[in-house]
Amino acid sequence: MNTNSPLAQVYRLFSSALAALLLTLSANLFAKPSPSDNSNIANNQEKLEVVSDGTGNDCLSDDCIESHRWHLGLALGVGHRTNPLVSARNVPLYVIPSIAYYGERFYFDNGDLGYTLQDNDRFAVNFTTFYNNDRGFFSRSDPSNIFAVSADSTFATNRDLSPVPEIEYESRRLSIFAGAEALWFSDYGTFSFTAGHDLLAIHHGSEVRAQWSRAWQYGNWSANLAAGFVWKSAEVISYYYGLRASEAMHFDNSNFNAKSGTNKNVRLSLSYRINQHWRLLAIGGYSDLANEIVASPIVIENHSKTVFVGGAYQF
Amino acid sequence: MVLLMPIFSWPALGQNQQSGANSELIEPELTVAEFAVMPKLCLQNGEQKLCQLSITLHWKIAKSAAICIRTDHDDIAQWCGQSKELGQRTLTVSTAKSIVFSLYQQASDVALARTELTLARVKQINKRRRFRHPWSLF
Repeated sequence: MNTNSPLAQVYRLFSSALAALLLTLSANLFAKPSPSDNSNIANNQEKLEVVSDGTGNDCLSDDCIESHRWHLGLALGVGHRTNPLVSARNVPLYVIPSIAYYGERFYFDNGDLGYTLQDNDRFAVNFTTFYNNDRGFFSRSDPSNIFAVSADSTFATNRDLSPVPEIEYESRRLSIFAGAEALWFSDYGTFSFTAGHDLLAIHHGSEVRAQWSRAWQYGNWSANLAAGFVWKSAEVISYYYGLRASEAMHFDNSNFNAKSGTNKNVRLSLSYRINQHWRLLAIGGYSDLANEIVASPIVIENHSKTVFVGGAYQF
Repeated sequence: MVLLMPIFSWPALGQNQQSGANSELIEPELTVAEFAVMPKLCLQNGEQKLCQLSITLHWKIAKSAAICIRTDHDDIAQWCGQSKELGQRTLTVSTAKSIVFSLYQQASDVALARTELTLARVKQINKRRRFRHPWSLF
């Protein structure tokens, strides 16, 4: 990697921010909490207002959400998502929205629609719809790239310096999966299992996701670590990573017999709450692509990395 | 306008007397080691306008003395009486705002200690578990 490239600068920025966040986080681990750390009483001079969680659940701030109202947020910063396709630009990330609404049972959370059948201290079962982010490698209008800057971004990669011209890939359609998910909330984190089938009959494929995630909170600091697998059926891999006729001329080998495969993902997010609305945010993600995806002639990398550092505003 | 309907029922005390300040008879200032109200907090839900509860004031002073306890509400009469080093009073209040209790040496207008019964309104917020990470869009 060219050490002076914007990509290298982003990596250095993220590494520095991550190190600083981890350093401060570890310092906070051993710091004596102030008496007000756990206070849920807000003094408004005239009269105290005790905020009561109607459920009585003792949950971390990012694990719980006030129901029956919209929650809007914007994260502003710098980051990108690497693109594993041959001669394709990385996806820059400057603005990331966060949109959620949770009703009594219905919920909408960052593009996922769901209906909760069961939710107790240990388990939850939902009907859910979700989308995958494969289309994001082909189209900047994909929800996973929402608000990303234009293709003329300064976020060029080392591959942009190569003589290989950028390939105009045909756009792939956004596919939404409908299915069910089960979640188990254990002392060791949350385990979720989700299965869905192509709702819009675009490729007639399916996805199955298994994930573990855990959140930690120390005062104003919070961290969330997630790791999991995403199994994609052959139909999904064929639709997104199969070679289109207009793309075949760019490749010597156009043979691709798609099979089902499993991506492995890990994501770490750190945040520091400045006040009620603002927080600092650092997110890093790594997706190890299934061998069956890497076997596609249009895929040159066996992974995709996501980094983002910035500030987030919650309305 | 703040609704204020205090019901202030001091236990009957034979030695109760209204304070009559006389500058020539002021005793040396009394030391108060402790003056507190229990409970300190009265919680109201959204429907309750008045906070009604029984509270106990207790104090510890350096020596037996004639003291008075006043509040920041004009329509609550002060209580005065002879007190030993340790004293306490239990009373029932019904109020729509916090009450500050002040302890005075009877012959003085200088408050020696203060304590407050604070009213807190419970704001019910319905929460439920969030199934996605807030920044999971990408």
